[in-house]
Amino acid sequence: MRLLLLGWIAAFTASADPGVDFFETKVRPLLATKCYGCHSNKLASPMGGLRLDSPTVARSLVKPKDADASRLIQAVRYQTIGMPPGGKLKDAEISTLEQWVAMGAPVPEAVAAKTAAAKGPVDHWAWQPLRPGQGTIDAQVRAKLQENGLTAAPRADHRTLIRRLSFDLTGLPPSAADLKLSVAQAVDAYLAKPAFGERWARHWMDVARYADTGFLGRAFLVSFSYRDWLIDAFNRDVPYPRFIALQLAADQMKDAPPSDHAALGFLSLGVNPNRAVDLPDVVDDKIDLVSRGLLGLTVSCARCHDHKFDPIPTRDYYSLYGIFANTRYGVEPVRVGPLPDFYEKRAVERKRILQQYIQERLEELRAEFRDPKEIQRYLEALWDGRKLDRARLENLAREKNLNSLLLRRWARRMLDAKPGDPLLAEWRAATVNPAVAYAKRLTHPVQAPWRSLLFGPDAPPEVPVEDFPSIMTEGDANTTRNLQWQYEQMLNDAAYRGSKGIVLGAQDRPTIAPSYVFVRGNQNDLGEETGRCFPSILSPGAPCFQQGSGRLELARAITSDRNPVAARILVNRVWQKLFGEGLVRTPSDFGLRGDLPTHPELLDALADGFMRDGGSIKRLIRRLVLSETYQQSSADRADARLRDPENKLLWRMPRRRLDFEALRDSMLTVAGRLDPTLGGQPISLVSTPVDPRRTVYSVIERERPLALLKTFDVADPEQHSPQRYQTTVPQQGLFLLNSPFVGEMARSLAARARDVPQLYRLALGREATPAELKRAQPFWAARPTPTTQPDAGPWQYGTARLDPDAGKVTGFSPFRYFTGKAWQNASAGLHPVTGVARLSEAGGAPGDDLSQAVVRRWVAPASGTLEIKGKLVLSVGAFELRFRLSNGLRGWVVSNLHGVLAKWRVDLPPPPADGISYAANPSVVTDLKNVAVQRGEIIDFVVDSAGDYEADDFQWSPVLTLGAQTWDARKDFAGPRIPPLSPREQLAQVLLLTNEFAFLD
Amino acid sequence: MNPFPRRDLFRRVGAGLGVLGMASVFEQAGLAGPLTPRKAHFTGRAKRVIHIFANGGPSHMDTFDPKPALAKYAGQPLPVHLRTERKTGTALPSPFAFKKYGRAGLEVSDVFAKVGAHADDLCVIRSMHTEVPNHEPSLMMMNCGTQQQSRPSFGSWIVYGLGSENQNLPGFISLCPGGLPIRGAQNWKSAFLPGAYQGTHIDTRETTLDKLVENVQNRLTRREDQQKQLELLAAMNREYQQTRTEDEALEARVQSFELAFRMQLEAEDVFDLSKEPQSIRDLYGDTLHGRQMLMARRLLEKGVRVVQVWHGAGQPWDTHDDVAKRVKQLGHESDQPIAALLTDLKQRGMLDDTLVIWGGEFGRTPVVELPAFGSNAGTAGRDHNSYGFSVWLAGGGVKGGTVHGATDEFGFRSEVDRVHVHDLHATLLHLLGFEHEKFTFRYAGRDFRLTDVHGQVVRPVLAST
Repeated sequence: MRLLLLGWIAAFTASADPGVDFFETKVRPLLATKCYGCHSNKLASPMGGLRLDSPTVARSLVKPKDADASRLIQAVRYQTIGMPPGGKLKDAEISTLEQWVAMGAPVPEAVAAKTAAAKGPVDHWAWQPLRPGQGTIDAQVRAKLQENGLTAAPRADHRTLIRRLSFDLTGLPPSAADLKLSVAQAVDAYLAKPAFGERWARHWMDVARYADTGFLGRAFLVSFSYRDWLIDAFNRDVPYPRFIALQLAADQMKDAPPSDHAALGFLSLGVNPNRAVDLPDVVDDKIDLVSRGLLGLTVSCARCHDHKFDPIPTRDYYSLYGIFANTRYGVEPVRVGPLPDFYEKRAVERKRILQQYIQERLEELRAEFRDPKEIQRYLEALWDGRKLDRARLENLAREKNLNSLLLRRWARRMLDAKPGDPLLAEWRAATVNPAVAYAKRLTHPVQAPWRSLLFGPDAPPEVPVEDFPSIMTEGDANTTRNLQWQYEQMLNDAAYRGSKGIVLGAQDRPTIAPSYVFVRGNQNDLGEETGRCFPSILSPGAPCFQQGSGRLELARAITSDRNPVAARILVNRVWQKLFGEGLVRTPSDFGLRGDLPTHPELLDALADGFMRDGGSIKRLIRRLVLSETYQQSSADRADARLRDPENKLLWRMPRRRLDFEALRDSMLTVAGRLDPTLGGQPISLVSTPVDPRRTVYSVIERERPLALLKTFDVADPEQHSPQRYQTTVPQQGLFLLNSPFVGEMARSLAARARDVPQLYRLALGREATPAELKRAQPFWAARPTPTTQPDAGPWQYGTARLDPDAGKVTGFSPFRYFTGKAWQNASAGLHPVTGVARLSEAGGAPGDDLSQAVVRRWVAPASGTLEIKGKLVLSVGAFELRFRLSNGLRGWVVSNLHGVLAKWRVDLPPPPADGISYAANPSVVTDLKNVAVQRGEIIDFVVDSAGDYEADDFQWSPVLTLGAQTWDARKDFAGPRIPPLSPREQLAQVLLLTNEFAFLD
Repeated sequence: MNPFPRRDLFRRVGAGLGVLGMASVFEQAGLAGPLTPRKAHFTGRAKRVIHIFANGGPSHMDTFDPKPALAKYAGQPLPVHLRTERKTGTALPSPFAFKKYGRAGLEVSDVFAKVGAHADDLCVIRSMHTEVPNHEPSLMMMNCGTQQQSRPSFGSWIVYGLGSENQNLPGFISLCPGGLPIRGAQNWKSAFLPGAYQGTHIDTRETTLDKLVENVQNRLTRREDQQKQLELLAAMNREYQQTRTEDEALEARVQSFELAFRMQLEAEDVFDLSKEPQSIRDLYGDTLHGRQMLMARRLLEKGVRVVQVWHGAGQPWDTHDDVAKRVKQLGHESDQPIAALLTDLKQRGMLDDTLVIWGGEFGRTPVVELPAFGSNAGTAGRDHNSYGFSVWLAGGGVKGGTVHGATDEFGFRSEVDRVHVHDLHATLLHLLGFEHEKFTFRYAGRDFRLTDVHGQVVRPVLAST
């Protein structure tokens, strides 16, 4: 499904059969809501033995095109047995069924067939044992070509091959020295480079829907420890079974060191708990990831009903559900070493505040629950609803505005009471005169037996702490989430500043809860218990999992040599990355609606070899790239194209466009700028100057994806991505023509070249042709157009040490990067030394202490009398104020000639009497008048953290007036001035933009 | 040697002489782009959509759904009290007066008096409802048709289905001043559809062109230098292609530079509001919201398929506090610009085939929200309400001067002719010419739809043909 811009056809079409559509959209939902309750094969003994969820069964109850003679219609019309018994269907609903019968009662044949087939083994290729074909890759490919009257292409030339290998294996262009290697030598060399791991980790990050930040833009706990683990794992060539096992269950593997727990980022860096989503959606994210990513099964389709096309019953979905619902994701780090003391203490303190908050609120809520009026509300509702099942009780809670957990606790206490429990008589009596009963009996002194309802572990109001999330208010939800984030942030601050003390992880829940089918996906409507098991189609009759959540057993089942699917999936993914398309062109759907393999025996032979080989990905890659099939030329042949336009038979190597990562990394390489440092905190792709780390290190924000990444079809980080689109849109051209990044690359490239021939060698790795030399000459020879360099202005931005006693600012160090919004020292995130220190147009944040104060520096362009107007605001809201997260900050105006001109302190206001209306954003006015300055005098606007950098974001954008002139810190704020490109640099840019640079033959 | 044999054509477009789909350029080259105009299932009444998103959840009782009964219960509990997200108390009558407008006597509060003057073009749906009273899932529901799962936004669906009339601008643009709304770019994501259908966010508080559209302004070279660069590039690419014939991907990339070059001029033109006569600028008002609404109209006029106009970053209409002051202020900001848009579209003959939608992700409670730490500051405000709210439609095949459906006596719950967000989406797609049940994209083993397995076209709001 490579979506080239060309030959685009809108792919929406009417479904094949309107009758089936009608059944699926009108009839089945009706049956599901009105009939399945009693007539479903999910029930142990459906009423009358009738299983209406099988479309064929539904069909057997009617006489097509004759509604009056159809049993089903007679029943719903109440002409015969009167179904459903709880009340007649609405006229419109009956008429839907009649209409369906009138249409001939169409049902989806495929579904009917599949449902029947699900009971026995299914004859679909993907679930059969491996049937490896004989012979080498080349022999098998050629045999197919021959069958179709085609031949393979000749071997590509050496330079093309080395370039192909270099990009495919390392994601970088070859060096001049590489071209001297033989193909075999180059393969060995590339597989051994750390850049190999960076390239292939990025491929796996598409599978793993990798992101650094999630809900509301908050950073995941040490996300990048997972990315770095992947790079290392590919470089170490961790065998595939272990590679998978670690990512699913490192915490349960005795031989996995703590550093390997980072592999669990595979699960944890997705939809997360404590992120204001419901558990079912957290779990669905994991099910989708594992089933599509590792097994090529679209299990998520079975969340509400059996899979329409594949033999995946809803039961399978909830068997996996049980595994992933019993796991906690990335809320606690795993220790691999010490954290700096400061962060260690802070994290502990944050956790304590969180727990204390929960405890206090829990007490308050329990007290509310003991209020006689409250108890009356619950017991009266329960009296009316005492015959209802759990799902209906849930509805009752919703209708009566009751907390559903508390109602369930009351239900358990009252409805499960033994007959003869004196409470029951009391309860019944209370229904007669409730106002009196509840008010009297439940006020002090509490009368027996009511007392047992109020206190003690079985008393319904005594909700245990682990159920706090189910009773907390929306304000509590916000507050606990923010407190958890504060805790995580302390850990992240340490990690983002370079501490290697923690990695992210995942753990089993302390108690493993049983798993049930949610009928029609409704978590309040529980069906049968499922256990925690492997999808049935892949393991007919196998026992379910026993150890904890079952993740380790799941990993073992996936990579077991009895399971052919996982190896096929992995081999196909690797093939796709090397050949542009997989042998199966739907790499995450090997189901009945997925594509068939173009070379089934070859796929099985590769999978078989891969498993026998212990699952070495490096050896698999070597096998593929050393084949003649891989080493074919990509040259077009009209006759072959006519027969096989999609090149499914591999009559040539396809020409491929570099993906965004390879394109950007190539530019950095030829510009001589690439920083090959491995791993670490994420970088920005849009800072000025350019952060020259590889693109794999780009910060990936799930909710605020960089437009640039989307423009170039980088995988969407929201969910598992089977393969990348390849679109061509003008925004790509805009980036290449106008972005500061490409400009800077062109500048660096041009600076490396002595002459045009060298420029061509550097950029394209070849000699320029005479015609090219001639065309380049006007650019190379032209003199730069004189341009007036824009005035840098009087402002500078940086950090410095402030000596309050001497009144001096020393060691001013300008910030290194402009992010587009702020000046700071790291292109993204925190800097190891200056931490959060930054300045933006409106304000900024100071570093740790007086040695890292932030300084907005203004140099007087003339002598005169200066007037300064401004307001220093500490940006804190009710949350920071209540929990005293900030200790306030200090502002100073310092002259290099006259020392401290003024200083202020912004403190936290005292808490309000009502505990709610906090005075957010405390501030001081920072106006100064009649300041005599001399030309060239430095006036520094300094902010320091007052000793503690936390929650110290501030606003301060002074306006300065000197004589008739005004400088406004906000309006004047700007990034670095970028001078125009010289003609030589323009030439260099053109080379970076060519198709030759961007495509791989 | 001219790399742009059709440049004269472009000049005409660049000068803003009208919408001339770049599709024709592509077609001449035998190419189709992701934004090439396409036909839907049938010819829709609307050709383009503007969604004015009052994000945060505007209060229907204070704007388009008068509830005089609330006054009777002022300060007392209502007989109906549904479960709310936060703790709520007694009835809070609207502090605003309602007046009747137009032939139909449509009742609109003083907050939107100027919009009210367009009553005969409005179709107010007062019986909207959605799933939960939380912003995040409800924003996703309104924009993408599902609360949690990653699905394409309706704008992405529409552009995927219809392409766009202008190949030099993105087909789907989201204007949001001051940054991003809650859930950021999720609101206009393309999800599993190709990136070309992703909404492009423009921060309309910015005023310089290259801050409005990334990289659209060339600061590296002068325009004539860039033309020379492109000529050299074209020559090199031609040579490269000589031995690599029949590779459409190569040709497409060549074209994309040409388009990018044109986009620079087009963008310069479309975002330059000074090209509008003073009378038009006065009509919209020289305010942030006036300017962004005028920008939206210019984009629509240029052939952009879907424009979403957000009230602002975060959730401005989330009035948990001080309804009297804040709703008034929010209305004050947007009333004139929206009214101006309606006037302007009408006078240009564009209202007939432009569907205008106004509304939020849910409504608000008729009862006051009680003070609580972590929630509000404790002044008379309203909580979220997913049981009932209002949106209105205008133009594009909608029956003007009508009210569809109703909430209960107090505005708590949609009661009569209930319209779910899925139904609104089905109606929206219908107006554009799609059968929403057949408008699908296959992904991960399923044929996905904007309306999933739901949605009914709300026929009574359609104008008779």
